[in-house]
Amino acid sequence: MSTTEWQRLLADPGPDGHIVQLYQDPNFYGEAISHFAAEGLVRGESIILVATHPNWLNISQHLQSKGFDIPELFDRGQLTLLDAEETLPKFMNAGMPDGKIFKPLARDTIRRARQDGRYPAVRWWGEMVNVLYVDGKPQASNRLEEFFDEVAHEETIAIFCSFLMDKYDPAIYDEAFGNVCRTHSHLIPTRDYASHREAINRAITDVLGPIQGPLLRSLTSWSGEISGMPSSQAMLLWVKETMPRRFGEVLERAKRYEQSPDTVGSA
Amino acid sequence: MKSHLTDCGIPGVGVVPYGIHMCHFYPARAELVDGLIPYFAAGLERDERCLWIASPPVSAIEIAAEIPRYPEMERAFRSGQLKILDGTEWHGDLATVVADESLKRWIAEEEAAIADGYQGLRVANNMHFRPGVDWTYLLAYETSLHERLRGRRVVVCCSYDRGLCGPVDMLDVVRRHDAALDRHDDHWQVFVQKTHRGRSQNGKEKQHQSELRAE
Repeated sequence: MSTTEWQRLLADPGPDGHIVQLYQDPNFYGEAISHFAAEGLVRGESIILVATHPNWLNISQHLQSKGFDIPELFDRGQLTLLDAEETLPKFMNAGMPDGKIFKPLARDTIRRARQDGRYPAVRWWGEMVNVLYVDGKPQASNRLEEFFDEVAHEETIAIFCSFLMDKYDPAIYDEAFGNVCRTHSHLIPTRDYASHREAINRAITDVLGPIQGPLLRSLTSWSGEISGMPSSQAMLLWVKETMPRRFGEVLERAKRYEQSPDTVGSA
Repeated sequence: MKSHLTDCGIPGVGVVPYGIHMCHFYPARAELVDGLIPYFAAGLERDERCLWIASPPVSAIEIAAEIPRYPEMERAFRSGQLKILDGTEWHGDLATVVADESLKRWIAEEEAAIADGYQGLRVANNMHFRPGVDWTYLLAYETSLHERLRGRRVVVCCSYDRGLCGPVDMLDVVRRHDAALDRHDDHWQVFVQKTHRGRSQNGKEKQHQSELRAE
């Protein structure tokens, strides 16, 4: 399999890159996290994973299938595993994360992961933010993400997050998706960028018709921030902002086309 | 002092600044050729060297065969003021093009035009591509071109076959150009790209943008 755009991004996220993956497929989830970790390990970096127990099983299986000896990684201090559900209560206060507790805790974890300079570069993947989001605590999730972003810049570490989100659910675009984009430098919305692009192209053409005249004017003059995400995802934001009443239909068709590429469209 | 503005030549578009990098999504061969004839006629009238980079659906030989219908262009073609080349001759195969090398050729062509006494360089670049094969390379090429044209005495119009471009492809293209040209019946319009070469606009680029808005 050739290296995809998201694999390249996770392999080399930059010194303080903050990447987010939207997922529904557990295999894509495990594949992406293990790729992020594996690429750090082979570069001699230290890896911090903050996972729930079931998800750690998924990730560890992927790491083992890549040939990593997990007990050995623990022994030499190159892999740090924290339980997300045990760690979260340590810094939650009245339903919100407390930065005064969280930040020293995160910095101390990073300091230990560096092993007195043996591993200067550190990567962190965690799902505490997603646990809060899935538990219906979007404000707490967003606040914690902001704390993570601050720590990532202060400590110059790369962070990767995974959100259980349906990119074709119109509801996420009301607030959650905007928050995710605001707190991350890069977004991975799907495993297969080419299929996503094709599905969005077909759906928009079905619903809006050819991009010419007023539509081309709108697209050209649209100043939405699209860096850090595939153009196909950015295109959805253009539809959402400029033609909100057609947005649901575009999403519905795009979802159908991505799931069943052979579906015949209609204008 | 040389003016930093020139006549685009395309009806309804009017004056454009040098350094502009425009795109055009054409529905068929006829519009591609019909739109570019007045574009080049204005460049010749403004004493610019003109470079027509052809790609399917119309080759350099086919364009050259049509040129005798336009006496001014015929004279310019014979004198060397108008050059017509195939894209493969100019930038090679998109999948193997080295953007920096190709861009050196663009800059050299502009400098040669000015050294020869012309006001600048006017280019039409028909970007033919193989969907799913060349796109990444093509975007890298356009990105480099977009960055390197700023401040040069060059006017460039890149043409894309609308039938090959989906909406997402069109977003990719317009974000790498200053403006998009669109034709409805016989009327042309120019749509300005608001993010205009990213966030780091200098004063000259802002001036370009306001000039286009004034059209």
